[in-house]
Amino acid sequence: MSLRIDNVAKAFGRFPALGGVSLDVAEGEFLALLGPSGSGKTTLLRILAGLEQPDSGSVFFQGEDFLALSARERRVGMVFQHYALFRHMTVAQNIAFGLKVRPRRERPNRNVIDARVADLLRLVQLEGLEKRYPAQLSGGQRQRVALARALAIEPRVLLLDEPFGALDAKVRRELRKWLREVHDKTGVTTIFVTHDQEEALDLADRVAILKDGLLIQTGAPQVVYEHPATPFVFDFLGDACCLRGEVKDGRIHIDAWSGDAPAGSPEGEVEVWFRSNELSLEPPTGEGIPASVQSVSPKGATLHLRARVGDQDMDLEIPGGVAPGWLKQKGSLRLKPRHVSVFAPVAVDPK
Amino acid sequence: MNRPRTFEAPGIAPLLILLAVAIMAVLIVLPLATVFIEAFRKGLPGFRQALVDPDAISAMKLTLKVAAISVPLNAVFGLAAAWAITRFEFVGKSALLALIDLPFSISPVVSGLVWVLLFGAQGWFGEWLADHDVQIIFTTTGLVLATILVTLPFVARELIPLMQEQGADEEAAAITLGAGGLTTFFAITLPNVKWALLYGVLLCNARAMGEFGAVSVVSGHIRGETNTLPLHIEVLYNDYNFVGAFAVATLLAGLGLVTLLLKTALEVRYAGELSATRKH
Repeated sequence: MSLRIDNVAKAFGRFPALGGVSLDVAEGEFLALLGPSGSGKTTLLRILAGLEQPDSGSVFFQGEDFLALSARERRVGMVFQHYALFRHMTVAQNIAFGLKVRPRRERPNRNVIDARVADLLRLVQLEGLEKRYPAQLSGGQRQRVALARALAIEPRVLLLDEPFGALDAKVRRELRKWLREVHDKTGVTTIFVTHDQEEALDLADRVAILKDGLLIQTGAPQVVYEHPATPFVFDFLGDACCLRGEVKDGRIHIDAWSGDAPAGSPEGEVEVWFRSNELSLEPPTGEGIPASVQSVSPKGATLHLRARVGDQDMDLEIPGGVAPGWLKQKGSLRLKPRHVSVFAPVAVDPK
Repeated sequence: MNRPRTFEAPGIAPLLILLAVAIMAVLIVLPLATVFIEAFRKGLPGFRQALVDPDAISAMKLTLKVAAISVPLNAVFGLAAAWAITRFEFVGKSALLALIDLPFSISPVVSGLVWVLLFGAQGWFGEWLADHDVQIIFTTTGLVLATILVTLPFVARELIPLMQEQGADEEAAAITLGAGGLTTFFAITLPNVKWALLYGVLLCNARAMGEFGAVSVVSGHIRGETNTLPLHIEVLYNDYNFVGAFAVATLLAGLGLVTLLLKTALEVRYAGELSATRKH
């Protein structure tokens, strides 16, 4: 194990930001810390960077006590959501900063620094912009400079705090792909924080999901997506719908529909979770959960369908964007989930 | 050009502009002009004589000395206070903020009087100071203390909004890149606020040199020794030496004009780097 985080807790005043998080990160791994805002993911990242001290717990990096080292001694590369580029320095000066501030004995000479800056500019595809100031760059370019600056010190771990959070959707997707390429080229252990489940699932080798300062589940993106540990995880990973049902002898029953329950499902009253993109629309005579159409409208590549099951309205986004010919406004249909997760119902608070 | 439709009686706009100009002329231009006209009432020789008077020269020197001591101290204090307030969470932060603003809201006379109450002959520490042969009131030390108190908020007030807006991320980035505290301060923090700092120092300096009320209380008005320029002007005026008073006053007015020029130049050139409240 390269990085071992053990039972790290941190509170800000009376607000508990992290409530004992343990996590191992392998050498060269690309890990996403995923969670809603306030889940403690940025706090954990800042603790790893040395910008915050935890109240308790330990962090070891290759057997070395990380918490005993100051932020400047850790040699951790940090990329901030709002870039945090030095506004009065050029792109080249920004990238060279980490090398120039080294103590005289360890400082590379000018030529080495210049060569390294040129290498990094090539890596982040910003050749020719070395004399620009941050204010003269686009958001995507700034974040690439920030990454080059972090990589310049040959970090032992690269930490990214919502690196694409301030960028628009198209640039974000481009940079995402490009970040993965940079990681594969440099092989540096990388941890990035995001609240965007699509980004985490798309980019990471492994996803760690946090909620209210606690680690809920870790696993490969596919595993987490297909086998969420809790309804929260299922819901957070997107397009989730939930219906009440019953499991009896390994079969799920919802209204007139029944299907095989996944292995390990609880018996009795349950919550059945499924994703609207894993749902087949069947005609009223077909197989599935009976539902009535409240409204239906194609929106680009997806079909927005508001359907009522029992007394519950569900907003479904069906991929494909084309409604089947038999589907009528105010008509009825059947919904057939291809994949479900079953959880014991959350105890209802009597209040 | 498409102007928004508002109520507009014919000729009202020129009238308002004329009115504004007239008020400006009466309230600002006229008094300023009077200063220069009165100063030269006895011609250049009279003007020159008032300025080379030993008491006037001593007042000039004292004013420069007081400003040279109190302005750098307030610049350091302002930086330290702004840094503490914008980079850390601590108990009593809002109290500190209010305290920094206090000199703006109390009368300068009170700012001077507190020193007399503390260090004057009848003050709290008066006896102890007398026993140790230390004099503060009626000396340059007293003038500096009074000036520092009055001009305390200028630099801090200029830096706090800017540093709040800039946030601590750049400093955090510098530290993770291996920079030490001093390097981070001189390579990142200071360059980021340098124009706002200069702006604050400029305002602080103008006030330090022009301050009358607070220094008047602690000075003792000893001619040639504890009279600053504003106090010297008062003394000359009370002696019915109007030409002398206005001649010395031109120095202060000139200082004010130069400050205004520099301030405007800074605002135009570095609007983006001054705090948000100063942006045009």
